Amino acid sequence: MPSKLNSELPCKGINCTILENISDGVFTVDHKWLITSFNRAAEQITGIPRKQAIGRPCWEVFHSSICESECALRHTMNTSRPVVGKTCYIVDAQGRRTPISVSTALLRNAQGKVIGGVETFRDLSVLEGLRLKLKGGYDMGELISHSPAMKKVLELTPAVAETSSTVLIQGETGTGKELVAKAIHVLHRGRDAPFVAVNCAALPDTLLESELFGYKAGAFTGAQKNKPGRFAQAKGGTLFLDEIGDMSLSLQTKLLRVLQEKCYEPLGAFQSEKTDARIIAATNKDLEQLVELNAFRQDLFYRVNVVRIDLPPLRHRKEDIPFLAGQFVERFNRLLNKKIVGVDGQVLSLFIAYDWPGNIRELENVIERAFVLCRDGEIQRSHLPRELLLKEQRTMETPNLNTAKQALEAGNISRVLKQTQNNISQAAKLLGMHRSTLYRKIKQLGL
Amino acid sequence: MKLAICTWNELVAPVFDVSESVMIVNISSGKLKTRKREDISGLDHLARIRRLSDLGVKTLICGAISRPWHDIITAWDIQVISYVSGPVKQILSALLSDNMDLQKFRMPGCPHSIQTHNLEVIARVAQAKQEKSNSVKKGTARK
Repeated sequence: MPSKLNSELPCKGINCTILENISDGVFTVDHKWLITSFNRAAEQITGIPRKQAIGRPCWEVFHSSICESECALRHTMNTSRPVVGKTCYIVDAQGRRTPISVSTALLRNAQGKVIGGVETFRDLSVLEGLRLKLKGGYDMGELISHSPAMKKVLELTPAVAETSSTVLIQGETGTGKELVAKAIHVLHRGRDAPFVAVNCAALPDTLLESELFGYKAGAFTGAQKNKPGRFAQAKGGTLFLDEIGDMSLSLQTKLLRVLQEKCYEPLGAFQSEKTDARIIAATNKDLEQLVELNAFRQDLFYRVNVVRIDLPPLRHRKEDIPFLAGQFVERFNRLLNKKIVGVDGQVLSLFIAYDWPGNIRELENVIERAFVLCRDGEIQRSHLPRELLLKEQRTMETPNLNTAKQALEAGNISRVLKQTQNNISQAAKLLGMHRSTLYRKIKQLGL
Repeated sequence: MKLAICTWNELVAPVFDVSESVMIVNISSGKLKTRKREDISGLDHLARIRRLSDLGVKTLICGAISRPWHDIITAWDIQVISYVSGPVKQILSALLSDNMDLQKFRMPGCPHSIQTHNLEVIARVAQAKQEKSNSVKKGTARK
């Protein structure tokens, strides 16, 4: 019986010492998928003591994303072929997902008879953290969303990245416009190409012009040597023009020329310089309205609005709040070397009930602040900023699981109704519910 | 009371996040009334949760579950009994038995929270049983 095996050590002799001192997790199973050995690293990665693991079916201990449908060990046992470096994730006892790579092989005895299988697995979370740090904290994974409101964005982003078209990203402040721009850039030009971001609202007009186009020595007092502009820096890459709606009309004219002719003149230069930088513009303003008010050039609007991506505010994608909160907790754990487990259920309900005018950035700031106050365990209400709790009090209603559910439901229904222009039958179909149920929910939620 | 159990080969599926099938079980007056399989493989996560909610499921029994999904399901007012493993039949029998003990179906290394969850479910089943016995007593008294 596997449970009667020596559960202190996975084996004996020199091989045992080696097995116990490697950083890869290793476990073996018999023909009934019961674990027969479990090394020290396996204990550490899964968080499950050897004594509890041995004699149990491997899926009860390992709980990986591939156990159910793509088990590597089953594949090896069925085909006698090893699997090398298959990536997946395991969900540990605290509900954390740990990325791992898995390799499997048949286990044979001294006579060459197959007595089971062996699985080795490597914890990729450190590597993943390092990769994120090297990339400045940006990851395509951050664009993953479970909200229907983001579906279009997620579909459009890779499609747009295949072209060289100018892109306009519209969305409220803090919705992640730069993140989408970076995703398009990485998919289109690759990670090594330059991604240059300029905030058009942060600089006065004259400075912005020299910042964008650069200048030649002697162009103005103090210009002692040539300075390349952002267009030159973005050669072969992407120029991200944030807050383009705040650009002056005179500068808009110059930008229009660059977009039309793909060339520009640095200040004080006699010759034009060519640019191949892809332009991605972003704004939190309604550019069409600015055009009507003559505050934005119509021709430039048509030039930048070739492909448009509208980013929904966080209040329209509340389903993503637990994931985003989890991502920020993981990120700050890595950066601040802490071990915060997550967000308390009551805090999460409060997060879902809140409207987040500052969107994802505000959520990130709230969690960063909580990290200062929270030493370990979960982020509690006492770690939240006063403003957030005051707003909660103003509503005269303590957020609970029910309000959180209602907030999610109301957001979802409103969005689908808007999408279908209040066509109840169509909306009910999209929401996967009966018309009468939808009518009842609209009435209940006061929509 | 309606329960949903994530299933895989007649066992509790190891990971809720990627599970493809649930068994919807209706327990009334301490007895198993109906059970039905639901294929959730084609649905995205939120659609799965909405489906469970629409079916009136109040408790979900599953294997390992990542924290965000646990939190979302709870926000939909569905109680989660996670880190459960073993044959579905035995788990149902345990739930309907007198001691209603799910502890032996705990996944190794699983947190103690399962114990709290269990107590709540046990309380619900026990309440249902109590209601049944009360109604039986009333019936006998009338006779």
